[in-house]
Amino acid sequence: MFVQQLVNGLMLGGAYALVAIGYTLIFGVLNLLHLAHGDIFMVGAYVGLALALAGFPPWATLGGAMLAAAALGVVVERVAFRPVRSRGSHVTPLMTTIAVGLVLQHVVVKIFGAEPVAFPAPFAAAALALGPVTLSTLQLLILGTSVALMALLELFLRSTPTGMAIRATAENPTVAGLMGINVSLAIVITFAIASALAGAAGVLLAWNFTGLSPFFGVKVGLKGLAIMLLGGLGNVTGAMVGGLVIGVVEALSVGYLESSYRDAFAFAVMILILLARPTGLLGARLQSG
Amino acid sequence: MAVSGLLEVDDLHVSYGRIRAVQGVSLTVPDAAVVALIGANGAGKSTLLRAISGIIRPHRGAVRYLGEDLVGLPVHQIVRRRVIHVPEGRGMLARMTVLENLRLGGFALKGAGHGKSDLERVFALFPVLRERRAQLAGSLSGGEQQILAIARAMMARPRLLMLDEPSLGLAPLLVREIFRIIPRLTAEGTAVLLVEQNARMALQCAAYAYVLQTGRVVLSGRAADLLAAPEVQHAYLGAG
Repeated sequence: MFVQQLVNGLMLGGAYALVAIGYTLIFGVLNLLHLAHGDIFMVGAYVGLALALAGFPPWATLGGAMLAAAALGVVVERVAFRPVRSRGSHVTPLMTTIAVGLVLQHVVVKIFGAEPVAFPAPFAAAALALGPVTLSTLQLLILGTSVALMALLELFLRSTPTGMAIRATAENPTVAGLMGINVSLAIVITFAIASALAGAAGVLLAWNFTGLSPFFGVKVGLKGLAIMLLGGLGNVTGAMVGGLVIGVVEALSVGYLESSYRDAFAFAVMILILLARPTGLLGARLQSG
Repeated sequence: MAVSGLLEVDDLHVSYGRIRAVQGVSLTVPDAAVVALIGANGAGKSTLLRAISGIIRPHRGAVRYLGEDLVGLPVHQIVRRRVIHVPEGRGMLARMTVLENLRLGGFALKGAGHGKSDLERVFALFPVLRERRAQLAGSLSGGEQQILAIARAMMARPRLLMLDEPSLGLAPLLVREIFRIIPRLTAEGTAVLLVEQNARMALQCAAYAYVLQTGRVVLSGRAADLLAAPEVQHAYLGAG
């Protein structure tokens, strides 16, 4: 039972981490919160739904959702951040992104309706029994995809010139500019990557929950935001670890307590951890820099 | 000084809100020469450099570099013209390694394929950076950070290098080390615009110099002449 819930939790947590990484990347380069990020996640899932219903294979469903979400993220940066970035207070982008989020929800309601809809399974999943643990091939796909995306992101940020430019911009935009980095372009690329990861998470979680609704992004977005804080502001590795922790906590609460308390329990654990470590799990590293 | 130069700043005015930090400065940096900018705190020296590199936008005047006006260009475009600014406080990317800082120094030249030989060259000049290449820049001592800042700027193969207070907070031995690098740069064809509190060292290594006071040029000329001028000796060199 315990190991089974641990595996379920890692699968859930991997997808949460993808959402949280997006928040943390964007917060890193702008020091601003992107409150429509959860809705980009939701739109990504609906694009995936449309593709799946049109008969595309799972990899195309996932890839299409990522591309659409990336494009949407770039538009949101242009519409809701760039015009208010240098002027106005930190509160202005909170308002503009909440507005964008509401617009996205209502556009999706117009197209797909406000009711939850079923998401077709990507394939007839087979169950693999490993001793006491049962894994479905779908679970393996979900976990494998989120781990692979995180590994790719880490590799990109560490070892490509563009990845280094994004990290430099996150640390100090003025100095990044003096290195010849086009800071505005680095910010746009950051939005595209963060949003693509959210789109992927949207499809992965829709596969996992076998359904979705236009308001699916609000709860997951809030959870992603909290996971960013849990991991340490602006810390990508922290968001990965934080996502896995919350996923496991949630799965264990489903297994041992009651399924309807899962969010309450996840947030309670988050509050306890933050009381003990206000800068987050990996926050100290951020401060020593 | 009517020589036409690599860089010609013409009647530049820069304000921060209502504070007029630079009020009509004109100066010339000839190719491959060292020009020193001296003056008290708040005279507008750093502001002038920030306006040349595009970090702040002047509200009047021109910054002509090889005949082209740089005013209004984004910072990264100015860097691509090989005008490199080492800002006050060294501008370390403290959370990145020494090697990553150096690589980013050559970011604007990417695709040129010189990265590796440039890296070997700065490692040969500053062996301490080779030793510390895997360390985070934030863990270096102040002197090592200043060396890294200059080495990182060299990775961009500057045609004009602007150094803002390279000696600030360093022990005398390190200050001499930093000043030993400057003639080497000019020998390779780099012009240096040097902002310094340490007026004596700056004037000794420069060909020309400008003295700034509350945003205006109050004296200019050959550095050797300024070094001997009584008003400079009195105000900036601590002579009675």
